[in-house]
Amino acid sequence: MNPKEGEATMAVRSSSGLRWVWFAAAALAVTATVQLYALSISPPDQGMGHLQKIMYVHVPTAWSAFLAFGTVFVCSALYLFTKREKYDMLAVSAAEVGVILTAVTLVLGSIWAKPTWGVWWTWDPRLTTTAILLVIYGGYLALRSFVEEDERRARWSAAVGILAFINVPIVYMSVRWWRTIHQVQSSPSTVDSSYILGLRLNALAVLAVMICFIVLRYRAGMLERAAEARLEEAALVKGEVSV
Amino acid sequence: VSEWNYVVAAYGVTWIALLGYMAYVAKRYVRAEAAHRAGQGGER
Repeated sequence: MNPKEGEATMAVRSSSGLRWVWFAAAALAVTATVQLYALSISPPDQGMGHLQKIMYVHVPTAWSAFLAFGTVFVCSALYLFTKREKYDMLAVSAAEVGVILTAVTLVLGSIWAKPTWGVWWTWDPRLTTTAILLVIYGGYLALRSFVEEDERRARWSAAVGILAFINVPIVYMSVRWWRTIHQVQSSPSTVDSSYILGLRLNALAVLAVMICFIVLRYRAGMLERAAEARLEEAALVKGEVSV
Repeated sequence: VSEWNYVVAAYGVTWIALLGYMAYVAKRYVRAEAAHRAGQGGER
């Protein structure tokens, strides 16, 4: 067994089969349940009416995207220190999930903006910095497809994964640092008490979905690397590849 | 346009994205595991 296959196999040996697929499915089922619960208990907002209910998906996806990008940052730093490929794979897995969640956040924000602001999109600081965040992490994923050599791809990606995180606190604070039409950060201290429970439950449910997605993507990636390594080893044994 | 149309659109977009990504990653995982067990290659 070559070292590349060894680490990949060890990383996925702790659990086998479709366990994480079922975990992810369960997390999605819980998310659907808490969404229905939150929708059923939340009264219409005085200003926005039933549009307030978009908050239960818009805010949790934004929070989870931030956490996913935080994971990219931590795993990228760990990769640079340790050179262990599992951190590289965790970073790309978290980046992919973060990009999906950020794209959803932007679309949901646009759907919410039209009836409240009268436009689908405006170059508001919060919206603009979030769009930049999506482009940066989209670039991170694109970079990986451009670099063929494993170690170089991981090293460059780690550098980008660390630098890209600078934009996350900028997005978060943009509603306070600049004049914006976006409301301040939604949290239990800034929303009406009748919405807090629904917001917290939905945040936890989307967080569980995010974790399951990252683990599932990570395990798929590590298994693919192990299978590739095994294939390379088999080719070497057959003498099909010269070294 | 009713407020509810926007709410339904928002939840619809969310679920299309979540279920779409779930299908993508679960399919990739199942294929990778099968390839690994069979000793064959997978995609990067």
